[in-house]
Amino acid sequence: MKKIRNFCVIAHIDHGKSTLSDRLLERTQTISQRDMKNQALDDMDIERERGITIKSHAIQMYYKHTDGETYTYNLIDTPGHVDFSYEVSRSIAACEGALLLVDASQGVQAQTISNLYLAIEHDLEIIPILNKVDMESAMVEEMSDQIIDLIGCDKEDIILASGKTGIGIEDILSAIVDRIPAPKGDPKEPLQALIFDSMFNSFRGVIAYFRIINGVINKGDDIRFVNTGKVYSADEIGILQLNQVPKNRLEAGNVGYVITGIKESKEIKVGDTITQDKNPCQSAIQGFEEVKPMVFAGIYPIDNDDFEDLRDSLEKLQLNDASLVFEPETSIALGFGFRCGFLGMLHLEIIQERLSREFDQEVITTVPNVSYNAYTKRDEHLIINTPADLPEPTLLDRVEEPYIKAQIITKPEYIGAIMTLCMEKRGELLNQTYLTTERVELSFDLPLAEIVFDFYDRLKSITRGYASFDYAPTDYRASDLVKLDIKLNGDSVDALSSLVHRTKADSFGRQICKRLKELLPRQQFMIAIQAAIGAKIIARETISALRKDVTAKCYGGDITRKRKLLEKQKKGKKKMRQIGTVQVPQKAFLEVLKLGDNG
Amino acid sequence: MAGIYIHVPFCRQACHYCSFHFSTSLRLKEEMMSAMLIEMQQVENKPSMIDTIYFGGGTPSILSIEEIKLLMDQIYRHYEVSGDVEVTLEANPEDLSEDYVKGLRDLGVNRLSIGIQSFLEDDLQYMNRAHSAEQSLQAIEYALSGGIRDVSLDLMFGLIGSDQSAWRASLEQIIDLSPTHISCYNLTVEEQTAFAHWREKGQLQEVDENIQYEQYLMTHELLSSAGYDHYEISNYAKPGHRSRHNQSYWNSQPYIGIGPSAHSFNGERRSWNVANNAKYLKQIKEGQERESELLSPSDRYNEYIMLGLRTAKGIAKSQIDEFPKKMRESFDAVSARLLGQGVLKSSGDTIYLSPEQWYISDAISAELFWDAD
Repeated sequence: MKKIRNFCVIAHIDHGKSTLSDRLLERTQTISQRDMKNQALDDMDIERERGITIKSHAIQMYYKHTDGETYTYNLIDTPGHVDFSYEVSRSIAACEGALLLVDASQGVQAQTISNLYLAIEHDLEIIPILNKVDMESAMVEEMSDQIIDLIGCDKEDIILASGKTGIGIEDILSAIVDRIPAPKGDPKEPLQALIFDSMFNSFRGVIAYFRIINGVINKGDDIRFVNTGKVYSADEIGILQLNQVPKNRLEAGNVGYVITGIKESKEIKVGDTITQDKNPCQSAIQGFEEVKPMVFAGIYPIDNDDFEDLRDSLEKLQLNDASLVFEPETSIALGFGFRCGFLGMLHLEIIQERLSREFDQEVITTVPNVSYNAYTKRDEHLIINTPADLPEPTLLDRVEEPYIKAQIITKPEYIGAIMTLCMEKRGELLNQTYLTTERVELSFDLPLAEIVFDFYDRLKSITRGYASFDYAPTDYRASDLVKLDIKLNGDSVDALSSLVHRTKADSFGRQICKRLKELLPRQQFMIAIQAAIGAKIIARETISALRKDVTAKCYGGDITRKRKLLEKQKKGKKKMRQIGTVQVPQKAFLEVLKLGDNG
Repeated sequence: MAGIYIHVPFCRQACHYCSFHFSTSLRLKEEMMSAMLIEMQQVENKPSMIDTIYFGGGTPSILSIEEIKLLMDQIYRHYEVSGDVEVTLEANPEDLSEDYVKGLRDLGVNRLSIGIQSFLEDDLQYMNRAHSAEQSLQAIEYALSGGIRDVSLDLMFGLIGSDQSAWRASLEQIIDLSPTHISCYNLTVEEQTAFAHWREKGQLQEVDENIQYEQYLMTHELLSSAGYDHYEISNYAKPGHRSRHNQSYWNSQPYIGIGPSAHSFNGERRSWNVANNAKYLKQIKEGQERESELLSPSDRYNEYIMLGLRTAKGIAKSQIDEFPKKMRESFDAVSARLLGQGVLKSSGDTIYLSPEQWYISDAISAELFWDAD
């Protein structure tokens, strides 16, 4: 156990985590250059394209230190987006150390800080690394000061590195032995292993990744998952190199995988503890939480006939993404579909994209909302995941909405713009800390619903990208919410309904009408777009009737070309949904929320 | 029954709105003549009977009577031609003289389609027409008095120079002239025209869509009450004087296209010559294959819908029954909705658009189309 080191990498998107990880794998000869598709750890297409790691992975490598000994390194990769902070916390809990990777041109970002705090909370040894020092824009002195301020280390502790050129890689590898403590834990104790991730393999079922705190696990053991209480046989255990390497026995301190024949990933919960069924541990490892969806939206097939296919696809997605939840719902406008719960907006977009890429399912996503607590006058407590479920105002006593604490790190020159944005979003400034003269951290108390509605895009645009953002849920508070309905030619479109704060209903209604006017194509008749609260119309726009849509001439030489043109037009219509008499393009349901800078 | 279309790909100058194939260089005219004569002879599977002959362009009246005679003779030499064949020639006003009209009549041309476009000098200049308004009136007189059975006059509306009262005056003037056939085209800005280029640069003045629609309705009302039958979105005829040739396109009857860019259709396959004079000459010289497409049931269904909804004839439900079940069912579902909305109308076996709705017939066709994917 003394020769094992378990560590993760804390970094902001684009700060070079994947490239640096690749260099470590290369230098330890875990992976040959030839085998390496760039960034070996990100193996989903979407991850590669977005340049972020959505699901964490782990990999084992062997390092021959200058002391002559060979050490086992377990690098536990962490996801890099706010939506996945619980998974990050479980990965951190499986490590004794963390490489804090900071881009030498860009400095510390909000995401990095919140993960760093998590690591410090878990007593991880931090190895600070300034990455991309070879770039012309690198500001080594300034960024070093920033890191020193942040973690209170000495300047000599900071390793200067470049994943691209390989500078500092050797220093990092030996610092891992020298600075990160070996795992503590006792192989003689009853088994206690922390599940920090799982993945789905269509041939082998669900594979759980774990870190053994105490005890041993043998192939064929009956193992129990403490929080779910279920017992399975450990059909295969092993370590994770570029491929899985089966072993007969793994001991305390090590990281590995187990295959039990479980077919659905919801049976394996990240953060759960694995123990021996015959000789169980006294207590579960702390920190387990049921992952709770934060954002809800309806997902509907474009064609109602595809409802069952959509169900199949969602079920398959859920096999390897246990954080996706869904249940059937009906919309008057859209027919049969599913109300789905997501960890956040990125998660929603990823699911939508995976449905399209992996299952060829084009879907309509309705206006997303958060989960509300409603209390009726008869003191019933209802959880509202869709605006349609909100009781009539006469029956309603109060509604509570979820709040978050948001951390934004930016340059001082953008403070004003961010304050304006957050106040408009009903936020309160809690704290303002200068990390350096050029970098300030703002914390806000904000309703979660407000960051669902185009917060992140606008934050990026008002700061020209110089802001990073992280959030954590805090509590539920009573709020004056109203249900805003959108009507097309008098028909309410339930899929466009939303719950909004009363003070913002008018402007929100006006803008949603305006946006719809841009998004809906003209049709053979006039279209009235209205926003209403109950019976009261608060905003209205009209789209004039399509007057002219014909070419004057159609003779022998025009027919083929014209037919093809109309066939293309027809394909465009296929991506639309008929609501009452009005054709609504698929993208309108989500695009309608992108209200622009006046939102 | 089948038609022959001869495309004469030359013009004296380029009209700013026109997207048909033509060249303003007459250098290849002689060579073009012989290539077209060769092509007429080379056509495989010639139809049993030719019912209509149509000289279009370009500007067919750019040809001399002798040249037109060569083409006519070649048709009679290689095809069976019906006794009451309709022979149309498109002419520009500046080309028509008393003698020329007489020469055409003697060759058997019994339908003259004259590109008047406008009675207003400003409009003509804006469109870059090669004739004056006065020349137009002179040409019309030669045609009407020259013993040609049918005279069709082309006008355009939606032009920036014609307001409502000017357009009304033009319509009244044409009614007074009393040709047997009138085509009134709403200006369409086609790609690769001067107008399209100006529009891209933001320099094209355009008439408000609502005003164009009013002009369209005015045309329908005035010509209808003057005894013209509005039988296709842009075409009006006195009873018995519809263009047989053009109707054959809309009824999916076979036709043979001769000359660059001309299309042929044999009931199953549509083929076309390259829209380039030099390449066409090479194609004929080297006996190259034309481009073509075999119409699938879905293509034929979509064309039937598209063409039917542009004409008074409409769509026959009994014809729809000839198409595959999935198309029939889709037609029934979508047409039921559009009938319910009052967009489509129905009478006996026929489902049709009223002339007011022809103005948006593309959008409605697309809704009824079958998407083969």
